[in-house]
Parts: sequence; C-alpha cells; structure tokens
Amino acid sequence: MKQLGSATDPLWYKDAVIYELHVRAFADSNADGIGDFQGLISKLDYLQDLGVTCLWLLPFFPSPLRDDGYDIANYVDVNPSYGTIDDFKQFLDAAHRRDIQVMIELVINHTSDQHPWFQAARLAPKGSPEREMYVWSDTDELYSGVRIIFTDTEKSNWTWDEVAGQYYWHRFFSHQPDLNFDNPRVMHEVLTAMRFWLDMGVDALRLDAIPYLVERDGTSCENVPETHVKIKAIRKVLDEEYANRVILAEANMWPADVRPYFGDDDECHMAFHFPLMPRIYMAVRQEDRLPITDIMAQTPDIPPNCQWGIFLRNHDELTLEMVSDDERDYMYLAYSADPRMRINVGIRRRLAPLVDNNRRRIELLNSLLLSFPGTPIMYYGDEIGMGDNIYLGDRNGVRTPMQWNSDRNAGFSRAVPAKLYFPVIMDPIWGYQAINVEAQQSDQSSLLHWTRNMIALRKLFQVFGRGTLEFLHPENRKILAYLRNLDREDGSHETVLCVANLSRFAQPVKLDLSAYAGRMPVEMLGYVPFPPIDQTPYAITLSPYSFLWLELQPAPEREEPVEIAGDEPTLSLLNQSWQSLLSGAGVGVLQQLLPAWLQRQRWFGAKTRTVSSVSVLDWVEIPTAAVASASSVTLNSALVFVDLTYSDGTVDTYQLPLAVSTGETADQLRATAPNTILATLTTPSGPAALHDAVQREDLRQALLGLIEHNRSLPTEVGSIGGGQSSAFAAVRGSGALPARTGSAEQSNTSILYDDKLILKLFRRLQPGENPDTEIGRFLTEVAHFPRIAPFLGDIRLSSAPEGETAEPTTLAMLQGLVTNEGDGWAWFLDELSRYFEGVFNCPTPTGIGQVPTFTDVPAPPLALAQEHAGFSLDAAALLGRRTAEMHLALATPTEDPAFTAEVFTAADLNADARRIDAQINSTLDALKREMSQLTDLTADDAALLLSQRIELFARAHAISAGDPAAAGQRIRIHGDYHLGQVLRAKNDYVILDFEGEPARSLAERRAKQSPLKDVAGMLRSFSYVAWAGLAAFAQRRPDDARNLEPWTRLWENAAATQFLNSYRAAIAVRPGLIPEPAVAQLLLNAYTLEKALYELLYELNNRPAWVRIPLSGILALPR
Amino acid sequence: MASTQIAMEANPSAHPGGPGLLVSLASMPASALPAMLSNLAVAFPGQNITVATPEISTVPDSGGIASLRLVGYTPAAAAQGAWVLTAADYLNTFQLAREHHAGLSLMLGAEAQSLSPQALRNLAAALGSGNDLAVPHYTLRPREGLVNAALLYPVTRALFGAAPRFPLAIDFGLSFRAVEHLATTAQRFTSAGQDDAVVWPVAEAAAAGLSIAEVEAGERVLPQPPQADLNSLLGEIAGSFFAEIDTRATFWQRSRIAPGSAFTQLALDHTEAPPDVRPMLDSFRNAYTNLHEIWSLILPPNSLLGLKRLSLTPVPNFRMPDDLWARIVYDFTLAWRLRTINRGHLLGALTPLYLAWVASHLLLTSGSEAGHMEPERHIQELARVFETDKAYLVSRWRWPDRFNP
Repeated sequence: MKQLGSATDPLWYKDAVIYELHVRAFADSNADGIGDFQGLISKLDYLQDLGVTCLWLLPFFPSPLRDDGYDIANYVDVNPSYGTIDDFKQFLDAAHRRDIQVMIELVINHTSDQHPWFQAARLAPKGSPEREMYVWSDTDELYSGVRIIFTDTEKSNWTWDEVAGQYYWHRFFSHQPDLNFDNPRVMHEVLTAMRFWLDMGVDALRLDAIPYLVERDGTSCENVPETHVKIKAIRKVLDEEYANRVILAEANMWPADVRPYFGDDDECHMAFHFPLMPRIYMAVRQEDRLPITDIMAQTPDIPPNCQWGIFLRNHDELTLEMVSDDERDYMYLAYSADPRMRINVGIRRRLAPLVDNNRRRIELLNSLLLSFPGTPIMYYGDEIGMGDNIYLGDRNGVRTPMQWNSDRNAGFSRAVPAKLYFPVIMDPIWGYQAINVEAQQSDQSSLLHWTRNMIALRKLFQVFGRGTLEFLHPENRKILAYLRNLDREDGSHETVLCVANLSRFAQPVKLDLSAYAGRMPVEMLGYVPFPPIDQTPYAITLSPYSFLWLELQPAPEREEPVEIAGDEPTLSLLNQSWQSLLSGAGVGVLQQLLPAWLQRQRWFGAKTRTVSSVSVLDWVEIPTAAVASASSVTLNSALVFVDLTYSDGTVDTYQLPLAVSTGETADQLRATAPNTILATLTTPSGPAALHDAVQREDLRQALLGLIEHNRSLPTEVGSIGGGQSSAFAAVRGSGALPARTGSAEQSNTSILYDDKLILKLFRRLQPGENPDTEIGRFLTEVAHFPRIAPFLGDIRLSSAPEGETAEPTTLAMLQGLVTNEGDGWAWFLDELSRYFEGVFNCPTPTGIGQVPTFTDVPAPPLALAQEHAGFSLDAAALLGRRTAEMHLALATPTEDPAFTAEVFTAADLNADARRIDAQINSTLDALKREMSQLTDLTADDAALLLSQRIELFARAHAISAGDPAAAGQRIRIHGDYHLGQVLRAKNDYVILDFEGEPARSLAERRAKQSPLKDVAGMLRSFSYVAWAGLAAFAQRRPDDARNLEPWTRLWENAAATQFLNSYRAAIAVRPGLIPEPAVAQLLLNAYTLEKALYELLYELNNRPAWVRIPLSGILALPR
Repeated sequence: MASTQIAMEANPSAHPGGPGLLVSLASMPASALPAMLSNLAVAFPGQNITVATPEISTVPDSGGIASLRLVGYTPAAAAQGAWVLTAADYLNTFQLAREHHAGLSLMLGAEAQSLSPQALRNLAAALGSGNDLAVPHYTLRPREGLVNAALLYPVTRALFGAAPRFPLAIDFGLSFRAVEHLATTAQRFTSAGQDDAVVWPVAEAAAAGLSIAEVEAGERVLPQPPQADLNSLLGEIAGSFFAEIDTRATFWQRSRIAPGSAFTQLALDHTEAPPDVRPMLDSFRNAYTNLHEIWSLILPPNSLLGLKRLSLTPVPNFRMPDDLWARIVYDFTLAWRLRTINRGHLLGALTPLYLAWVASHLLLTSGSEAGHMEPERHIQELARVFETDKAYLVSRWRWPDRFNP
C-alpha cells in the first residue's frame, strides 16, 4: 500500500537540516563489524536531539561495494549486511515518528557490472532490448574527447567486454556501466524502482550523477538536452503520484550550468551548490571574502520553490573541479600538505582536520553553512569534529565508523576489531578515545553541544532557509557581511544580519546599514540588544574567526511621548509656503540657522571658515506624492540654491534640498537622523521639522522622476530640467525602486535606488557642466565604454532669466549601481598584506627590478615577484589595459569639440612646464621650512632632493624644448586617476569619478591634457600603496617588517612594469595618441614628478610621518 | 456522526459554518441538563440554537424549550475524565459545527450549568463582534485558580502575547475558523495519543493569528480534576504547557508582549481565615534537602542561592521574589525541552517550588497590614516580571549553556 510522506509542508526541504550518513558506518547492532538499520534505529534519539530534520542515507542496496554502494546490483532490496526491507521500513517509521524525513539515493546513471541487467546484456544479441539497457559500441572512438572523471584510476570511458564483444560506456569506474536512457525500458525500470521506495514513504531522492544520463556524439556528454527530458519525466511521476516528496540533483557543475536542472520548477527541487564549498575554505585561508562573494555573484536565481543544497564536507573528496587552475593549486598547497590527502581532483579530508582542528574555525565554517541561502547538509561525525584516516584507499578515509564512546571499536560495534569494515580512528588527536559522542554529550562546552545549539537556533528563523541574500561591501575584506530577508506568510518580516570575521586576528568593520536606520540589532545567540542603527556607518569589532548573527528588529516602541529637542530653533510657518521662508524675514532666519547646521553636515566642505552671510539665489518646489495624499504634510519639498559668503569675502554656492515634515515622519527623523533637522516650525497643524529633504522618500522618487520623464520645472529665476540617457531604460528596468540615502558620501550626497541606480547630488555647485557628467555621458552614449558605471541621466539648473542663455549647472547625476568588492586601493592593500606575510621570512631578494620606462623593451617582471605576488601583478596588468581602453574611448572620434583630440602646441607644453615649475617651488620651499621636523633618515633624503632643485627645473623644462607635434595628442582625461578611483568588480575594474582634482577650477578640470598624466597618477598610486602596505604590516608586526624594504621596491617595480607594459600594448592600437617612446618618457617623467611633488606637499602639511613615501618616490624617478 | 478523521475544507471560504450557534456540552449528569438548557434559553431567548451532548441517552427532549434543538452524538474520541476541554472535544465540535452549519460554537465544560446566562451571552457576543476565540474570565475566590495565576497566565502573556487571565479555560467560544484550526491541531494530539495535552488552545490561537477576546463570565463551579494529588495535577498541566512552549518556540521568540488584563481585581475577602501555609513550607524545606541535587541540574547558582535563603526564612517573612519564581519557571521550561533529567522527575521537582510560591503569595495577600497586597495586583505584577524576564528565557533557550549566572 502506498504510504504518505511524513512532511506536511510542501516546502519542508527549505527549512530542513540534512544529515548525511552511511548505514554501514553508523552503528552495528549484530556485532558483525558492519553498521546496519537496527543500529541506526538505536541512534535516532541522538539524531533527533542533535536537531537534524532529514537523514540522507548513502546507498544501502545490494552491491559488490567496489564504489561504496554506488555500484548497485539490485535497486529494490536492502544489502543483507545492513538488514532487510522490514528493517528499513521500521527505520523509516521510527524516523517519521520523530519528525525526521528520509532521503535515499537513486543512482540511475549506472549500475554495478554485477547487476542482472548487465549480465543479461552481455549475453543478449546486439541491438536487443536486453543488450540496449546499456551503452555499447564496436569502437572506443565514439564520444571521443569526453573527459574522464576518475582520473586516478580510469584511462578511458570505454571498456572492452569479451563476452559481448563490444565496448561499454562508463563515466565512472569501469565496473559501473552506464544505463542507456535512449532505451524506454530503462526509464520504465527506473520509475519502478522509484515507486518502490516512495510507496514505502521515503521523502526524498538524491539523483546521483544526473548530468551524465544521456550521451550524444560531438558533445561533452554532459547536460545534453535529452537528459532534461528524462528528469522532467521523473518529476512528473513524482508530482502526479506523490505529495511533498523531493528530488535533489547531484550535478558537480558551475551554478549557471546547474540552473537548468531546476527547470521551470519541473525538474529537481534541490541541487547541490558544489563551487561554493571550496571557496569557503579558500576565503578562510586567504582571509578574504572575495572567493565567496564572487561565486555567489555567479549564482543565478532559481525558481521560488527550488533550493540549493550547501555543505562543508561529504562522503567524497573536497572536490576542486569547479575552481580555476590557480585556485586548485592554492587549495592543494593550503589544505593537503601530504600528497596522500589528494585524490582525483580534490582533497579527501574531513572538516576538522582541514582546519587543523581549530575550534573557532570549525564554528565559523558551520556558521556560514547554517546562515547561507540554501539547505545545510552535515556529514556524519563532523558534529563532533571527527578526524580521517588518509592511509585508507579511495575516499574511505572519511568513511570510518562513527565514534560513539571510548569503549571498544568506539562503541560502533561489539565485533572483534579485525572484523570491522574499516578500522576506527585511533591516533592520539583524532582517536575515538579523544573524540566521541558520549564524552561530548557530558561536556557542556563541546562541539557537539555547540552544533546542537546552532541547529536549534537556525530552525527558529525561517529566514535562513527561505530568505533573500544581500552582501554588504565594507572596506575591510576580511569581513563577510550579508543580510537575509524574508517576508513570512503570516505577514511578519525577518531580517538577519550575519557578519563573519575570516581572519585569525580581531577586525574592525563599518557597515552601511542606513537602509535599516531605526532598527535595533539583537544578537541572536544571546538575545543581546545592540545599539540602534542610524544613518552613520555601523561599527562592529569582531574577535578572530568570530561571527555575529543579528536580528534587525523594529525599534522598540516608545512608551513616553517623543519630545522635541529643546535646542532646535523654532520658527513660524503660518502661511504654509516656501515663499515665506525663502524671502523677506525668512532669509534672515535662515541666515541665523544655516551656519550652525552646516557645521553638522558631512558634505559641507568649509567647516573651518566663517559664513558671514547667506543669500537665496534661486529655488524650486518639487511636486511630490506626499502632498497629494491626505497626510499632514502640507508642503512640497524644495531645492534651494544659496550663496554662502565667508568672512574672507569668498563665495560658495550650495544646493540645499529642504522639506517640512510632521507627525511620524518628523518623529522618526528625530530618532534616526537628528542632524538633518534645521529647525522646528510652528504650523497650523502643529510642530513640524524643517529638514534636509533627501531624508524623504517622496523627494528621492521625485528627483528620479525628473530624469525618467525628462521633466522641467520653473524656478524663481530660471528652470531646472532632468534628462535621461540612452542607457537609462535598460538599467532602470520596471517596477518600484525604493530609495535610501547612502552613508559613505563626503562632499556630495548619494541616493541609492534599490540595487540599481545611484544619484549623486552635488552639494557645492560650480557654474557649468560637471566633468563627471560630461565624460560619463560621452563614454556611455558615444564611446560605449563598458568599464564605468553607466551614465543614466542628470538634473541641470539654468538660472538665467527668460530670454537669456547661460550654461546650465549640473545639480545631480544618475548612474547605474555597480556591484563591487571595494576600491582598488583597499584591494591592493589586502594583496600586499598577503605578499608581506609570504616574504617576510624569505632572504632579501637579489634584485628588485627597475622602474619601467617607455624606452625599455617591454619585459615581464622578475620571476621572484611573479612567484610571490602573481595575483596582484596580473591585476596591475589588467588595470593597465583598462586604462588604455579608457583613453582610447575618450579619444573616440567625434564632432563634439569638448572631446575632439587635439595636437599639442608650444603654448600647451610651456603651460605644463610652468605649472610644474610652480609645483617644484612651492613644494621645495615647504620642505625646507619643515626640515627640522623630519626624522634623520627622511631629512637626509630631503636634503638630497633640495640639492637637486636645478635638475628638477631642467626636467620640467625639458618637455617644452621638444617639438610639440611629436608630443602626442591632448584629449579629455580622467584627471584625478589613482587606485581609489577604480572599483574591483568580478575580477575586473570599473573606473569612477571623472570630476578631476576638486581643488582646481572647472575650466582646468575640463581642459584637454596628455593621457600620460593619468598614467603618471596611477604609477604614483602603485608606489603609494606599496609603501602604505608596508607601513600597515610594520604596525602589526614590527619585528617581521624590518627587512622588507627591498621586497617593497620589488613589488612596486613589478606592479608598475606590469601596468605600463599592458598599457603600452593596448594603447598601441591608436598610433599617435601618445608620442614615441623617448618623448613619452620625457612627458611621463615630468608628470610623475609633478604628481609626486604634489603628494609631498600634501604630506608635509598633513601627515609628516608619510613624507618619506613621496620623497623616496621622487628620488627614485627615472631621469 | 462525528468521526476521528477530519477532512478539512480545501477552500476555507467555503466552510459549511452558517450564522447558527452551536453549543457543545461536555458530558454532564442528566440531572444537570435541565438547568443548563434553562440557562441557555434565558441567554438566547427565541434564537435557534443547536445543543449537542455526547450521550444520546441524556437527550430526552429539549426541556420544553422550542428554540433549542438538542442533538446527541457519539464522541469522536473519548475524553477521559475530562475536567478541561481535551483535543477530542475540539474534533467533535468541529464535526458538529460542520454538520449543523454553525458559524459560532460554544464549548462548555463540566459543571457548565453553573455558568450564568449573562456569561453565555457574553461568550456569544464576543464571537458576534468578529472575534475568533472568546475566553471566559471567571470570578474566583482569591485562593482559587492559583496554577493559572502562578504559571499559565503570566507565561502565556509573556511568551504568546495573549492575556486571558485563565488560559486553562474550561469553556470557550469559537468562530468556525477557530474551531477548524484548533481541530486540525487537536488531530495531531489525538493521532499521536497525546491525551494529556490540555494547555494549548490559547497559545495555538495566538500563534495562528486568531483574534482573542476575554469576556466577563462571573462565578462558576470549577470541575474537579480526577487527580487526587497536586503533584500529578501540576505535572499534567505543566507538562502540557511546556510541550506547547517547545512546539511554538518559533512563534514566541518573535511575538510582542500584549498589554495586561483589563479586568478589575477582586477585593480580598478578609473574613476568610488566614491560610495555614506551614504544610506547604514544610514540603518546600524537605524538598530543599532532598531535591537540591536535582534542582542544581536545572537552576543556575543565583536561583539556588535564592532558594537557600528562602529555606532559612521564618514563616511570617517568607516571600519568594517574583523574579526568582519567573526564572525558576523559565529554567524548568528549558530543562523540559533539553530533557536535562527525566521529564517526570522534572515535573515532580517543580511541585515543592510551586508550593513555596503559593505560600509566599498567600502570605503576601492575606491580612490588611502594611506591605500586604491585593491578590490580583500581585498576579499582575508577577505577570509583568515574567514579561521583563522573557529575554532571560529567550537567551537561555537559544544558548543553553549551563555556565550562566
């Protein structure tokens, strides 16, 4: 009779915690040395207490056991060593009584060569249905080129069968012939076997090796379309005949290749996420979240009812098939020092030995397993930190008997030890006397108790199994931080913030949680409330390998009425109009309020100056949805443009979005962003807050609307207008885009629209088009350069009265939001940290390479540098190429005079030389003044530089001595190019911020210049990051850093070489853009000198301790 | 005829419940039925009411009341010694409500004939106002219903955000939606043979998002439980309650605390003789000697220290601090979940502590001199302490490390 499954929720597998075990390895009830179902039944209370909700049994069918049971000889029986069918039924019922579901294996790609089907096939005539149960060929050339999976044991996917007189096909061992799914009889038999177990009440089936079901010549014989047809047929039977049953796909593929196995929710309910697992280990070893975030970025969305299965270890090797060659080499070096630990394409070790039995690392990895999207799958024994035996063959080292207690055979069996199917582990560290269930049950601090508690905690929150995932991107890459969100069916919402420290040292981190301002994080393990979140970055410190799970709860309800802060100024707004505030006496009030308020705004750049007067230049009301509603808000928001006159007579123009809010909105502002409130107003409907309008969602949406609908609005004097670029529609997509204010802005304000768009609202306005907007538009719409955040539109102010014309001023720029891993500066600093870790105890390098020049024949950096810093040098090379591509894009032929490439004139070169002269004078004068403050070593270098003043002038003037026509072309350039201006994104770069140097005038920033100026900027940045990296390392480990200067120079030269070589190769596609090598080097020398002098002046004025970096950089410059 | 297997409606909106009122009576002596019917007739004059009693033999006629339609039924599952409503009663009532197209149901327990017509009206009126579950608030004497006061009320309020003063209600009013939902849950208990599940409907209703109303029910004769000794009775109630807390952990860890009960407190009847609490305190002191080892497996050092001080306190000054009692209850709840010791032994070890609380409560609320307190005020204060200390339970539940203060 057909039994019901045990689960009542059709999506039970999303909330499950799966425990993988082998009946043979778990508990032996009859003292024959082999685990069995009765033994397993006796341990169900243990498993229930552990909290797991689903048991995945490895194959327990009759089998010659040459592949641990995956070589099945009978699909509808139990291996007599493990018991009988009745024993299995008894086990199934007992598990179900404990609310534990059961998953078994459906190994349908192949059988054992001892299966009666195969024995019959060998004897049957060619072409007969019996023979065609398997895949045969007269030649072993069919399907040539298909990869071999078990490379350690198999030489071909074909094996000759003497009896049949043909070759048979096998993707795994030669004793496992593949079934032929082109024969309908095979599918019939598979479905018969499936029904046999499902009828009994089995809840889930793991489909083993499904990418290989069907073979087609000329393909890789993996993932062929016909395979999906077979899986759909299996799923159809499952859905039509059974309720709440699940199939799980084993497809060891990249996530994008696994995605088709979910189909349109008509193939597998679940699939393993294979590539995540090695990257978790890699991230922990490298102390860098990138491997994890990178693979998750490559993970496609799956149908809502489907689920990933995630795991740390299983019965097979830690597979490294789904990693790059470099990553595989790294993993071997990091995790398998002994070659015996390696097998096939992976590492055959258990969790605890992999992480050197470090409890905190084990806990960290499990915390990721239990909090990542997907259903966690634990491997038996890992809950107590069992070890492995690498001296056993194949993958049997991780399949040893479960260690129950310190009695004979670890309590697994009463048989004489020699009878055990595998010996128990007996060494002093991993042996059963040291690690066993009984001991850990009585030890409240054991890993077993910890695991049990963590599983129980996970089960309390459905968000872990069903919620969305969103990574945060703090600067510190040793921190992995992500949000899980779930709208529950009961209308409630769960938000959990997970933060993990991948490093062996304590780490600080600041998280942008402004979207959750007002929420209160509650640490989930101890139910400890943390300080509420506000608009500022949320700072947390994590101890080594620690993790935090924080539930972001709504702010506690206030019992007492909210009081209006006494120090907020109060003024009347009785006639409810902006006019009353922005004209007449209202301006006087603003003048009183603004200076103090501006001091509290992060974007206000003149905090050291005194505002002597304020005048309103212009303003415009922005129609918003809030006014149209019946809310108590009665005013639109307004963009106000004010002139601030300082006591020294200079004037700045600022943009102030203002709004008036009452009721709950005002209360929330007082609680979460009090600094944005300018004043409390008296209005007819009660007290109201006059505040920065970017806090209001309606204003944020209205600004987006101006761009989206190309809309204009009249201001008091002129007009403002929004406009979208040609890329807008594709990036914006459809649907609502909830907005929030970014927290990392400095001189401007960023508004983020969901995870798609970012609007940069310029605060200090300069007349004319902002270069960032101008260049962004050109690169997006004309040059179609992909390595920038796409320009999507802008808002402009034209304050000229009607009838007059004036160049509009850019108020805001809209771009696509780029998912990234932080800026290039932080990325290279991290890489350098690893580099110094690797070389600090190496002998001093025999050579440090050379500063690269255009006149050199391009050559690779020294092999020593490649050996220790290959990854970061590759990244430097890529940046060189991208930089050249940026310049080529900026030089795209166009009719637009602002972008047309021009030749140098003598006047241009003279102007450059004069500018550098001025820089030399101001810097060296400052250096002379500060000499007495410098350390001895730095003072020596400073004296040397001062003695070269004449020679420096000569270098500057050298550029004006040559033929201007040979100096290459002048184009628009980035203008402020350094590592902080590029983002790392998916192992590539996105170039940002084309505003130019903020201190320069708009005209200077928009002037055309030699692209070599950007090259010089980036070369200086490589130098800076190298020495900053050394300083950081020295601060942490002063003793180890003493002899690292040669290593620093080695890296600096190698990175610069890679960058420049790559730049030269890529820019060469447009001859003439940069001059011939000798002239190019002359210009580069001059521009690099100018940049380094600028840095030196900055450090003298601001960070004397850093003076040595630019100083030694200047002295090392080629002449 | 009702059956034990209930086929739930696939489409909830198509339930057969109509506007009619069903009164489902517990088994009661034939002699009590006329009074019951009479009260119903007074409560609902002229209304067509279906009254169901479990034994057909006890339904001779409607007592001459035309508006009452009496039906007998064979219980789906026997309610053994039913002094409170059992899982089987919900199954039966659901089946009856469906058969008789009743949108509203009153489930009345043993001795229901002592309920006033006004109480019956109040229950039905609360349902008529759109509530799903109407819970009676009985007027009891100050020394009655102390298990409710000490354990069920404060914990239900703190954990489930449901504030009925008597969660262990003997009578309920239920919308069709509520009876259907509770019957589904009840089926789980009956199919698992858990006949001892008695304290779950209020928590279940709260977790399911059903609206709960508390109604004034006046005085009522409380049915006597079959258990002769307090140990067994407390074991049954606490065991059932702890199991419900375990089952509903995902809900109460997220639920918000509800405001306290709105009902006025009872004035203490000062004419009653002062209670003799010495036997209770003797029991506690004996247990302190004999059960100390067991308690030390369950309770943290601070609580054990508090108990030690109490064991040495002379009778007139004996006061168990509310927060000590709250943490004791919470730690026993946790120990029940973790099976720290055999659950039967665990519940047995709670009894002397409960007696100590009762003695403390009676001493605090007897007499009229300064420092004494009205009983209901004490119970409300106790409930607030349970609410305040909910975080203690949540943190212990999530991380049940024995190494705690």
